[in-house]
Amino acid sequence: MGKFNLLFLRNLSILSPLLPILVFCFFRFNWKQKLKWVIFVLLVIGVIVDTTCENLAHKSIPTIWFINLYTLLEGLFVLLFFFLLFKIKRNLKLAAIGCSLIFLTLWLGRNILLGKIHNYDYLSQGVEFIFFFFFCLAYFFQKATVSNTEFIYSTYEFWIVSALLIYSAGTFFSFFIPIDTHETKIDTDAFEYISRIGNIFKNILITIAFFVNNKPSSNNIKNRNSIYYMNDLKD
Amino acid sequence: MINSLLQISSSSSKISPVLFFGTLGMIMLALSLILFIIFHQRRVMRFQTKMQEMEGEYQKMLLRASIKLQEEERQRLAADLHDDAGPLLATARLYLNENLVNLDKAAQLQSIFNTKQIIDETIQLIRNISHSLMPPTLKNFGLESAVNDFFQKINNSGSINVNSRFHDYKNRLKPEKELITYRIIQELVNNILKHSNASFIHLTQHDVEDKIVLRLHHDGKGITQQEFIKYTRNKDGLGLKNIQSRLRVIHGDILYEEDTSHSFFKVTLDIPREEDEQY
Repeated sequence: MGKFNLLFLRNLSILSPLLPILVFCFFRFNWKQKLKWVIFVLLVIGVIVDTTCENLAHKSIPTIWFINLYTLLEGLFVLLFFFLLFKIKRNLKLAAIGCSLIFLTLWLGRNILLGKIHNYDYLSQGVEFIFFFFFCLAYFFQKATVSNTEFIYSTYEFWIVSALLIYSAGTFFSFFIPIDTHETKIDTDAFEYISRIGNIFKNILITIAFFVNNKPSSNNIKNRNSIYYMNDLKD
Repeated sequence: MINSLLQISSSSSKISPVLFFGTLGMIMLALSLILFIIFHQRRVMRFQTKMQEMEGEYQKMLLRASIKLQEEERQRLAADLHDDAGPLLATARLYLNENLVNLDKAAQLQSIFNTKQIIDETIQLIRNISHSLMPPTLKNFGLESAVNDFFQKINNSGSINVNSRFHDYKNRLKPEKELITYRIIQELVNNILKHSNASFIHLTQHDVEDKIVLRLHHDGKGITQQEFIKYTRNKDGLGLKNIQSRLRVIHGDILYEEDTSHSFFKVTLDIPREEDEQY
């Protein structure tokens, strides 16, 4: 039963990015929405990596290096997303650039310089998710402090950031387990369960994000002009 | 996700409880954070909407007061023209009827003289109406002279002592701004005359940085800023609402306060000067 569940979850997780990809391509295609494009490209890369890994695994070819490469791309794309997300806050933009450089250095140092690309890169993933947390919290903090006339959940950015936060939160804790325990089959399965479910959930939220189109903020009271007032006064 | 985790947990006791509870905790934290932000933002937006609605209502109230004042002014004008100028011109017409040519020379001269007098009276009446709309002193000589003229007329009544001192009024404000300021001063003085039972009114003017500060002192019964705000938000207090709406037009501020000695009341007007009004 457990094996069947895991297999089912694995396939569902591999197919789940197709949902937001199809939604974006057929329903909500928009050249101008750069943030959606970043996530879209990341999803496409994710599907390619997942399917390739599955094929390579069937042929007993090692796939860890491929997953580690995806970790690098995922980190850089999500940090690019945050870089574009913070339109006004210059400090956060600089922080996104800084984090990207740190992450890149860390990944290159561990996987290329130390030559550990064929071992699963928990360190880079852990650091990557800490960065995600930081920027998600920064986004929410910004939204909580800046007064806005638009509901937060009516913007697609909110759904994407929520997806990233929940995905990171769901999978993050597994990085705290000593690396040795991942060698046992049970914990490896548990780890996969968590990341697969997290991935599916993330893709559902991204699908919602792709369905949402930001509207220009409207404020009924502010937009009232004097003619309306004059009409009101006649009542 | 939780069900699956529980399934794993129950199917195999080997799974680390740290992983299970850690993951659960992190997800709960993330969800709580998202929900908190949503509810917080909704609450802030509700508050903002309420504030904007209140501001809108207040604006409407000021506009209503201003329209009412305009209508009253029109009614006064119509009444003046209809009740005073109308009968005068009708009388003049009577003197100049068709029979005039049949009258003897002395009667004709008398009629023409009477007509001339009536026409002079009408001219004076129309001039008065025109002056009440736009004081010529204000137009020609500025706020200081207009205020002095206005105060002179009040002083002539002998019931109250009114005086003014302009310290730094070398550069005049723009004509429309001067007129609005003059109307505000008129309204303030009228209010003092009507309600305060004061024995003197003293007006001073100073330039402070880039604005004109006008201060009215009087020893009668005055109001404080809180009372002013209360009156402007009530349905009554038309005059005060007009002061407020006029001040908005010129981006000015008003402050009603009682002197620390509790013997005087002060009304301070802050009127910002524009770039081309500076010296």
